[in-house]
Amino acid sequence: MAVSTVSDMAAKQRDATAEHSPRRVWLRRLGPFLPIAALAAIAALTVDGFGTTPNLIAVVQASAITGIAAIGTAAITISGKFVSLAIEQQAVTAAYVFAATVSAGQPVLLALVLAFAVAIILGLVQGYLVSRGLNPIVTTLAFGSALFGSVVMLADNRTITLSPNPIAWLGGGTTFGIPNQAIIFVVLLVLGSLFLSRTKLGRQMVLTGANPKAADLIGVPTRRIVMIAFVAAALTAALVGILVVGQVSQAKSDMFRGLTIDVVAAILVGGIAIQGGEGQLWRAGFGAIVLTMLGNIMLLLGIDAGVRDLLKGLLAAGVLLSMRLLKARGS
Amino acid sequence: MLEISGLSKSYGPVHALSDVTFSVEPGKVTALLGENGAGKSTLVKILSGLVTPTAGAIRVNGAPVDLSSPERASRSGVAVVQQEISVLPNLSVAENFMLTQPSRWLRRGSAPALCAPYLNRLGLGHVDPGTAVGELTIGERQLVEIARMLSQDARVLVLDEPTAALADSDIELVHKAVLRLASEGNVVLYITHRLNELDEICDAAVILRNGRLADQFETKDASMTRIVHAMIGRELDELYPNAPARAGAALPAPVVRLKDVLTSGLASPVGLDLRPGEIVAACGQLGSGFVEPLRAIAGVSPLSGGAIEFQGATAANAKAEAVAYCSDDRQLDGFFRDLPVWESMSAPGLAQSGLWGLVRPSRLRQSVDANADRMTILPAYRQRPVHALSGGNAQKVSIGKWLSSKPRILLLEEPTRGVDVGARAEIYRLLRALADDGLAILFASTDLDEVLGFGERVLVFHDNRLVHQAPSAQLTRDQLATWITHGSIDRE
Repeated sequence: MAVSTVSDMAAKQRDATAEHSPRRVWLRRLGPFLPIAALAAIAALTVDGFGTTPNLIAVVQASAITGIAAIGTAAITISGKFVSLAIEQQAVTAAYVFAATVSAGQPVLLALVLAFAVAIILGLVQGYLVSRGLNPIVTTLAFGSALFGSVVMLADNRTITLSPNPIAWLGGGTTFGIPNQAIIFVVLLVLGSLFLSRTKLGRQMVLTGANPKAADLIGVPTRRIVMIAFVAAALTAALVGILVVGQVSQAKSDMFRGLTIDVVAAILVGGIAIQGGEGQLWRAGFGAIVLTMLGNIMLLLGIDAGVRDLLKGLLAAGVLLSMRLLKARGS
Repeated sequence: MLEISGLSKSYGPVHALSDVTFSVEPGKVTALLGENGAGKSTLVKILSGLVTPTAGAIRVNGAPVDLSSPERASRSGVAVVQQEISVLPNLSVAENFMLTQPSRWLRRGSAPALCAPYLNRLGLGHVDPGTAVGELTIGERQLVEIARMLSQDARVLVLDEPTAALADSDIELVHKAVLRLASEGNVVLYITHRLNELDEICDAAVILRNGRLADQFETKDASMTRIVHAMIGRELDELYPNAPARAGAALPAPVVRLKDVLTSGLASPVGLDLRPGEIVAACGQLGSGFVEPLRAIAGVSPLSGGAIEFQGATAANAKAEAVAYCSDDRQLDGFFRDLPVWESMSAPGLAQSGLWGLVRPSRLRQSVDANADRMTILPAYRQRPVHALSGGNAQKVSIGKWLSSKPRILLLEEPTRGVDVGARAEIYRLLRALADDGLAILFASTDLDEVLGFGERVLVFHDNRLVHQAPSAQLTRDQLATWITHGSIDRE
């Protein structure tokens, strides 16, 4: 043991230079919360109508669409493949598949199964390509464009309207006064967090993102995990597509314009490390809520749409910068 | 003359360097020695302009130098060859040279002519300046980096472990270059973990321990005992543990048997048995194929011929269950450097248990305790990210993580690269204990002392062929060096 103690002492000195005081860990974990909590508190006190229960429920409801898609997309981010840029196209696809099946007189269940089955196939194809080494950004960009083109072509760029809408209760309904979309959002958030920390698949997904080479060597099936992540993202995008059909009773090609960027912003603002391997799915949902809340406050204050977008962009940049700085100081 | 006086650097309460004073004379090679954490890296970072000292002064030829940024440091004549090779693999050798030229314009046409003399001086005459650096071996890349430094008129040259990643033949080339640099009247500060380099090329030595100057002497006055004592503050009993006596005992059945194995890195088939409890060394020059048996067993190098049989292997996943493999680059694929140590330590076991099912994070965290105790990784380190550990502890994580999947074969490339002498002895002892518990260990190394001291049986590779096999006790260092460089023992 004599051998070990001396080298350990030397090592200890070196190790101590990298600071990991409990205070800093705490700061890093809760860092993103503090400005948001402060903002919410200030808004509740100063902005008329922000602190009311209906408005807060409306915020969660409004963030649900972005949030649900962000939870699935975060799986891609965490497994180390950045993001998918084909989210809105996949949501549109699911909306069309669902609406077309229902308007053809088929049962709702069949329409749901079909929409999700298509999503799984789309996810598998993208996941296969990316897991074989293609760049995820380029792949999903090209894939989304091709997908969108085919869907619009097949649908003849028509708007499919459902009347009556058999899933209006899902898209716009409430349970005990809480919007169903918000409930689905929160449930998925909880499930996603449990999935990452408490399932073998989830933990190996984090390992894959943290160091794909090391994960590969120890026998983690990294390619399969990347494919699973893409399927998860495709499934949540499809769910979003169906929920919005429930809400607006129609499927049309431009119904999700801007969703992809919102989802990516939510992931970044929530503080999920874009390089992968940091496993907290709730951050994606949290990011969606923050962005929506900010938009909501600005709306209540009567700020113009252009200024709102500008401030949102600045916020995303600010969060990225502060994460970078905290990380640089921590190591 | 490089003069360092009263140099200190603190990170909060931690003193990485305290009041270090010494001077290095031109025309000599001065070794800078110390264990991991002794302050060598901090000193190098200060000299390269990456870190600002808390106190103290650095003078070159009597005049203070501006080391406030890497660029200013190199402009004031202080050149540092970092431990991590910093030539850019996607660019050609000539383009890498152009990057450090003071000229504002990159002259693609004249660059090859510019760098050729420096390459020749380092024995890299055979390398075409148009070759992408990524196609060179690690040894050649290191030489390119030193050649690039030669091309900048530096008066003070700091070489941070230039030979750590090199094979013996390349080491000789580097040594010659270093001696030439010194004889040209430069100040040469040479950082190394290989103590035998002291006798070979160094004239003087400066030894740091715990951030302080521990000793300073001319190497001709020093014994190995004095050096080791100065470095670790006590005597080192023995670096290599003894193998248990096995006289007369029947050999156990092999856990893995290579039958006429061929890979893209082998020119003739290799046959090999690995038995439980045995430590086998594979050695050779870089690129001689000595790592191929390990990579073939690990499945990293696909077989182009022959077969590998695992003991009792009927299941298709026998390989995955039996084999643990650590590559020669632990930073790249040895662990999850940003995650806490316990994540890496538990990962192979987790991967082995499949994709489906639940785990409790707290149980996973506790599950590594026995293995971490065994690898003498202190409990305080287990919650920290791996990147915060020293080289020795990181290597213990890289090897120790495999205990979680209960392998029967352990394959290690360069098991103690970048690990200081105290931690090395510890790693050898830990590996010996694992072998004594029935693990078969095959390691590949370019460090001949390690091969002879730690291996029980030695496989020598030359020119992509297995040319010799012998118990290490029956080989002298000179014989082994001859085998490695000539592929035979008869000298013409």
